Amino acid sequence: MLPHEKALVERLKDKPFALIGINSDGDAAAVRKLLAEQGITWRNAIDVSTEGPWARAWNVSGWPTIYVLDSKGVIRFRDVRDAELEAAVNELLAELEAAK
Amino acid sequence: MRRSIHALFALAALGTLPGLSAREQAPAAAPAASTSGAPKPDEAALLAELEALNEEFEAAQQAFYAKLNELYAPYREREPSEAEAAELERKVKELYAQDPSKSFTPRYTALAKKAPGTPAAAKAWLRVVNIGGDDEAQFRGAVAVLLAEHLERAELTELASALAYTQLPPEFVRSTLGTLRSKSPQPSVQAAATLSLAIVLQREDVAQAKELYRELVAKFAALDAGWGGTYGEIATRALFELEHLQIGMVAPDFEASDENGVKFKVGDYRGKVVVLDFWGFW
Repeated sequence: MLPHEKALVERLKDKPFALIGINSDGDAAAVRKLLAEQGITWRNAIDVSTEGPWARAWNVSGWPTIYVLDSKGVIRFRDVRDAELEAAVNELLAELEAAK
Repeated sequence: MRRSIHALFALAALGTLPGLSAREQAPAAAPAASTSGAPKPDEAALLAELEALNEEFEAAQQAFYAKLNELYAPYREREPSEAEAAELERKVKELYAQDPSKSFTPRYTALAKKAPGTPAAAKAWLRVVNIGGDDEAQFRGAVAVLLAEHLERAELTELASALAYTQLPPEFVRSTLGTLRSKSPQPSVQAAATLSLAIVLQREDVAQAKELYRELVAKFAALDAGWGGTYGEIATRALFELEHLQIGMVAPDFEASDENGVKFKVGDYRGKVVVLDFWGFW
């Protein structure tokens, strides 16, 4: 998952794309340390724990849980990983490009 | 920042007002009246026997998983070669042939049959349900006895919960849950059966699943589910997911704080394709 995400973020760094983590490993300081150790460059919402407010509100009970939103904020894919995630993002970027 | 999320919980809390209090659960059912004539089985001795069998089973299971772990250990850091993968598969299969659940199910069944209708029998049948999961005949047999002889017991909560996640025929699962929901006198069983039925139905009939979740919020809001909070909380979250988090819906927005303490919203990213990844290492 992680190497694939890093490649995705690197490849799309000049595109209208964002990967946002919602992390449940602790407070901001703990997560900052973790991100540095893992070489993660994208933004993370601090959810503190698996019982955090985001996880609760979005009824998350398994990790990772993935949602892919289009440029209008509409949920278009759920629980896609790796190659499927890549394809989903490519599809939505192509859609956005075509709409211009 | 958490205003919208608090609103969600407030909603769940509101649902608790007319509902049952968590303490209102009926006391554990009394043992079924012993039948006349037959020598009365010594309940304490049976429960002790069950306890010993449980300990033996858990030890056997631990040993089983330790062995399984050992087989996989060399390949945590590297991929097995083709030959190694084949060998691994063979050994795992061999080990699964001695899976303790296979040898213990008949022993629990025998114990249950010694003292029909007693709490010890109910507990033993529940064990059969829990460990004999992939043997349909065994599962159905145990469920039939539990429904016929132990329907009044609070312990059937375990059965009601287990039925949300089985590979059994949907018809059987639905009818069993229906019986538990309507015939059990125990709020904990009714609630667990309602939740399981909602989970099972969610795959095919969202409208009916929603209705069941609403029923949970209305009737069992404050009842503790043992995991994930109260039935009210679990059902409120499930409803939110069904109503706001499906494909084609605009993602709900919440304000978050990032690793540098900077606040942001998903809505700030309109115009971009966004991947939201709930993750953690823990």
